[in-house]
Order: sequence, then structure tokens, then C-alpha cells
Amino acid sequence: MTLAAAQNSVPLEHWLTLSGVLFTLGLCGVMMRRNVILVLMSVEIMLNAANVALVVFNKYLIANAPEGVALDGQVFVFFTIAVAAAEAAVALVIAMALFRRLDTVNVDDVANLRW
Amino acid sequence: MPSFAEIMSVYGLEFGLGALAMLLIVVDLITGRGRLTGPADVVRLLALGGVSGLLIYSFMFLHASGEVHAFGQLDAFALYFKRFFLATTLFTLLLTAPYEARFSGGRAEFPVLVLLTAMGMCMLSSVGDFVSLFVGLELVTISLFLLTAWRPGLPRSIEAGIKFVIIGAVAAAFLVYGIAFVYGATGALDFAGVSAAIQSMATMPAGLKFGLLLVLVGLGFKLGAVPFHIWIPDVYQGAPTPVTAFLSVGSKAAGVVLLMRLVYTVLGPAAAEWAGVLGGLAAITLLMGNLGAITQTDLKRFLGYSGIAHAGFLLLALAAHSEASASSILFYMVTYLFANMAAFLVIIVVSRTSDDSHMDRVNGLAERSPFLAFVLLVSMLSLAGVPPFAGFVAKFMILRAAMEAALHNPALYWIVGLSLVMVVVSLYYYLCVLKRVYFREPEDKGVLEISGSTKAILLLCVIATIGLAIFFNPLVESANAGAQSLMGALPQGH
Amino acid sequence: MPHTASLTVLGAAESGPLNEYLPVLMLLLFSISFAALNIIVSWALGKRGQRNPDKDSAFECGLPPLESGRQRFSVKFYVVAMLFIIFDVEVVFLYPWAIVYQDLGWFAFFEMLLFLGVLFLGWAYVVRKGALDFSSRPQPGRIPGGPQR
Repeated sequence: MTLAAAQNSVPLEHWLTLSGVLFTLGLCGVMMRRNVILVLMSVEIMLNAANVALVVFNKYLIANAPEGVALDGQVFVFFTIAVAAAEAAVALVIAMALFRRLDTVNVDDVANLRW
Repeated sequence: MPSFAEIMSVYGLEFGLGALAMLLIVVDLITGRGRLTGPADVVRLLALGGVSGLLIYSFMFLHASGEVHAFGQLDAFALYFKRFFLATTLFTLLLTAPYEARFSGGRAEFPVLVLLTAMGMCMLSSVGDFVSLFVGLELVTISLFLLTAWRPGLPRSIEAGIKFVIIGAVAAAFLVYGIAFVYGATGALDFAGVSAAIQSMATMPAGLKFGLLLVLVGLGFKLGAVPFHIWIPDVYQGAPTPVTAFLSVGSKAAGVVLLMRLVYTVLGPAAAEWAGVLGGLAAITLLMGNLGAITQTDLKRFLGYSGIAHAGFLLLALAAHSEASASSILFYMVTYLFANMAAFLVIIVVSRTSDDSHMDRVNGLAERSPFLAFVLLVSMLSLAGVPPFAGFVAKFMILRAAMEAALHNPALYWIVGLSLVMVVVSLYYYLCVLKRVYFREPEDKGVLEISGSTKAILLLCVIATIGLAIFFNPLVESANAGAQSLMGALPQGH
Repeated sequence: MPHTASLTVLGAAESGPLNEYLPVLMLLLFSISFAALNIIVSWALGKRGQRNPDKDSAFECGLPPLESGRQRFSVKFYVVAMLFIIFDVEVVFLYPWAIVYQDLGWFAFFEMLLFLGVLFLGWAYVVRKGALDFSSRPQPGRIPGGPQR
């Protein structure tokens, strides 16, 4: 995207609002959902909110200083995506073990360890 | 573009650990014929030998260098922690040996995951940018998720795993979101660039403060600091005991190493503004940990709360923000390593038959095995910070550094006062455990047999805990060198 | 960019950040109207007759369904899907590498070789442990459709 196009585009605040709304939605989901799978999906939404913020910040940094800014924010997103996939795989394996052993995916049912 | 030799000069140990893990997988695949229960002995010996070799290598051939690369550095601070992490890994593998019979499968996978965690931890001690920080931290966290749930037949192991996964994933999301805002405000993802940008600002913009706060909170998760401390008791209790030991020392140190790097190097002079936040977190963490520990009836859960209390002490030292306080943290971690490893190995031995770690298991331990009782005595008193043991020296160093810093920042006096009260509280609950050991009737009067190797490890921990209280100078000097390299080498701009 | 062209024709691309949202609005309107149009057209052109159970039944169109179409399927697919996701996502690192590897030289080549070597080892592990085995015969010591120990 060229400098002129970036300046003429959706302002940073709007993107950050989108990212903030996504992050809050994810956080609310984590706290309110009781199904492990849905909780994990909410966490993925939170991570994606961070990805949106990273990409947008990178785009605006380039627009403000076109000569010397790398694409490091967008490269970071590759890493978060890969890490999130690994995390999801491990989380689902443990959720499967939970279902097999305790026959539930409800986080309220796994509260034997307390105080 | 860094050359291969430059990268190896910083991350050589990590390559070694990674290669060792790959080698274990290959050996398991060839000899195990694809079955889940491979020849544990070959794999275990390879892992133990490899880690010891790397530890010896790091002492004999690795030297700290002042060179700061864009991708990281091997300064005295990083080297200190790399050795620390290797020692922790070695202890974990040793602790696994008497426990391993309780695993129902995946004998090669367990050491492989421990090695990969160690790789991530060592990487964290010398990272130079937020991308490597995130990847290294997640390597540690995700491997630990699996290790925590390593006994799927045991409901509490799975419960601990699922709780750890959810809280860990949320903390990771906080961290990335925070990093995004730091990046947006400073335009850099490497520590040198962020630090230069922060120093060029008159006041921090709100977005940067928000980002840094989220990063602090996200890293506090590893350390066991408020508000992400709630996972600690549950996960400590549910995880297999060697994993709990690994978590309690290694995971905490991983959080410490990153927080120190961020507070001392990246924030630099701007950290003074953050002393209030860190001090407040320290106070709440101290309260939560110490008050929570009083009523515990499970040994591992009890040590979890005690771990939160220790995290509070470490945060207090971070808030003090001086070279002396940095050095005291480095010393503290080593004393914590020996005391904790000894306590967890005792737990493994006493819960050998019943597989549960209720405090009744240590009732009358003095009659059943005077040696184990003595080890627990040394470990508990060192954790409490009682004079003839290393824990006292460590706590004393932190409090002295905090008092010195309080001359410039009077609010610290309150937190130091609180921490002194909490030391007394902690003495009470550690003594409660010892009361069970020496004055309660045992439920099972049989003499506890201890294998020679277990005895040797326990003896090493006891000697180190007493020895470090008397001959603390070499370790203090090494810690001072680490603190100096951390404070002295403020990274230059791009 | 067709959007910009159409906006210029409409005379709306002068200034103001909100104009950037016009394509989004147009896409929204388009999708709603397309869906609405389909419903209206089929309602208007379709012939409506009497409905009765015989008319609604499947006549000479195969056998009547025996059970619900929403079946639970084997958990084995979950393992395959999970493994696919992991290996699939790792490919994300190949794209930026493919663009710049000529500038980076042999170092980047060997680095990618190392990366792929680690991935290959992971694949060998998966195959050797039998996680991709679909045979229904349970094999002792192997993973029957998942990490069950």
C-alpha cells in the first residue's frame, strides 16, 4: 500500500477499536463460557485481536516513515499463528483426556482441587 | 544479517538441547519399534548424560561476552541463568527416576518435553527481542501444559492440566496484546529499539503504559504473581511431583529472567515510575501467598502457596531496582532451587505407596527415617529464611537492598515492613509442617527405605543449602557479575 | 482496484475516512439484496400446489432415510485433523522465506533445511507411533485414535 493510500484509509483508532472489541469479547467468553472448547475458542479470538493490532500498527508505522521500517509486526503475526496452532493442539489433547476420564467438557465440573 | 557463528555463540546451548531432544526421539523410534513404552533406561541415561555434559560444557567453555547482538546476547546474566536452568533440568530428570514407574506410557516423550522446556528457558535468558521472547516463552509453557497432564489416568492431573492451559493461554494473549501496544508506541520489537524509544520520550504515552502493564501481567503469570497466581496451587497439586518441582523452580525463574531483562534493561531509567506498580503487586502477592499457605493440608499445594509468597519477595526486589537487588534475586533463585528440589524429592518418597501428598504422609517422619526428616527440616527452614541456612542469606540480601532503595522511595518501607511480618507468618506454617514431622504419631510405622541415588541427591541439596549460608561469596560474586552486566550494558539504539 | 474506480464514478471518493467504509457497506447491501432477491424470485416464479404427506415423501428417489444425518463420527478424525493443522500452519514460514531466499543466500537455505528436518522428524514420529493408522484392529502399545495411555 502506498503512502498516500495509507493516509487516506481507515484511521488507526477504528482499527484499534475493532481489536479492542475483539479482545474484550474473547476475555468475556473465557470468563463466562463453561464449555472448555468454547473457552479455547475465546482465547483464539483474543490472540487474533492482538494479531489485528500488530498488523495495523505495522501498517501505520510504514505509512509514517516509509523509508526505514521493517515488516516486523507482520512477521510476528506468523509466529503467533504458529504458536496458537500448537497451543490449540495441546489444549485439545488435554480436553480430550478430560472428556475420556471424567466424561465432561464443562469447566465447572472440574473443581476438585480447591483452597 | 547475523552469521551462523554469531548465532551459535549465543544460542549454542539451545542447539545442543534441541539436538539432544531430537536424538532421543530418533533413538526411541529405532529401538522402541513404535511402541509407547520404549526402553526407558537408554533414553533416560542419554538425557541425563547429555544435560550433565552441557552443564559441564557451560561451566568450562562458555564465557560471558559484552557483545549485544540484535537477536540476543550471552552476557554474564544470561550465562548465570543458563547454568541455573540446566541444573534445574538435571534435578528434574533425577527426580523423575524414582517416580517414573507411575507413568503408564510415553517414557521417551517425557524427557524430550523436559529438554524442550529447558531449551525454551535457556533461550529466554538471552533473548533480545519480543518475537523470540514470545516464542521461547510459549515453548516453555506449552511443553509444561503436556507435562502437567502427564498422568491422564489421574483425574487431578487432567484437572490441573486444563486449568493450566486456560490460564496460560489467556496470559499469552495478554502478553501478545501488550507487545502489540508497545510496538505501536515505540515502533520497535527489539529490546534495544524499544529502550531507545522510551528514553527519547519525555513522558510515556498512555498506549505504551497500557502495553507495558499487559506485558508485566503476562510475564507475572510464569512467576506466579497476582493476578495470574490462581493456577499455582491447583497445578502444583495436580501435576506429577517431578513436574511440580520443575514448574516451581524453572517456570518461576523463566518469569524472573524476563522481568529482570525488561525492567532493568528495556525500561532502564524509566523503571522508577514502575516501582509503585511492582511494589503494589509485591505486597498483594506476599499477602495472597502467605495467608493462603496457612490453612493448607496438602504438601504440594502448600508449597504452591509458599511459591507465591516467594514470588512476592522477588517482586519486592524488582521494585527496589538497584544493582544490589538484582544480584540478590540471582542468589535467591539458587537457594530456592536446592530447598525446593529437596522438599519435592521427600514428597516423592513419602507418597510412594499411596500416590497422594496429604500432609499426614509426613506425620512422624522422624521415626520412620531420621534422614528424610532432617532434609525436610533444612529445606523448610531455608525456605522460611532462618539463619543457619542459605534462604536466610538470600532474604537478608533482598531486604537490605530494598531498605537501601527505600531511602529514595519511602513507599518501599511499608512493603519491607509487610514482608517482615510475612516472614514471621511463613515461619509459623513451615514450623507446622515440621511439628508433624517430629511430634505426630506416624500412621504407618514401617521404616522408609531410600535408594542410594535418592540419598545422594538429598545430601547434595542439604550440603548446598548449609554451605551457601557459610561460603556464599563465590556465588554472590557470580551473581554480582550477572547483575552488573544486566545494569551496565544499556543497549544502544539501532 | 475496482472499488476505487466505482467510487470515483459515484463521486464519493473525495475525502473523509468514512468513505473507506463505503465498499463494506456496498458489499453488505449486495449480499442482503442477493439473498432477498433469490427468495423473492423463487416465491414469485415457483408454482405452488397442494401439499400433503404423500407429495412430500421421497418417491422413487432412493430409500427413506434410516437415521439422522447428524451422526457422531470417530474420534480418529480428530487426531488427523489436529496433525494436519499443525503441519499446515508451519508452512506459513515457507512463504516469506520463498520470497527472499535469493537475497539471503546459502545460510537461509540451510536454516530452512534444518526447520524442515525437524518437521520431518515430527512426521516420522507420527507415522511410527501409528497415529495415522486407520485399521480398526487395536494394536497393543499404539495410539488407538488418540493419546490414550
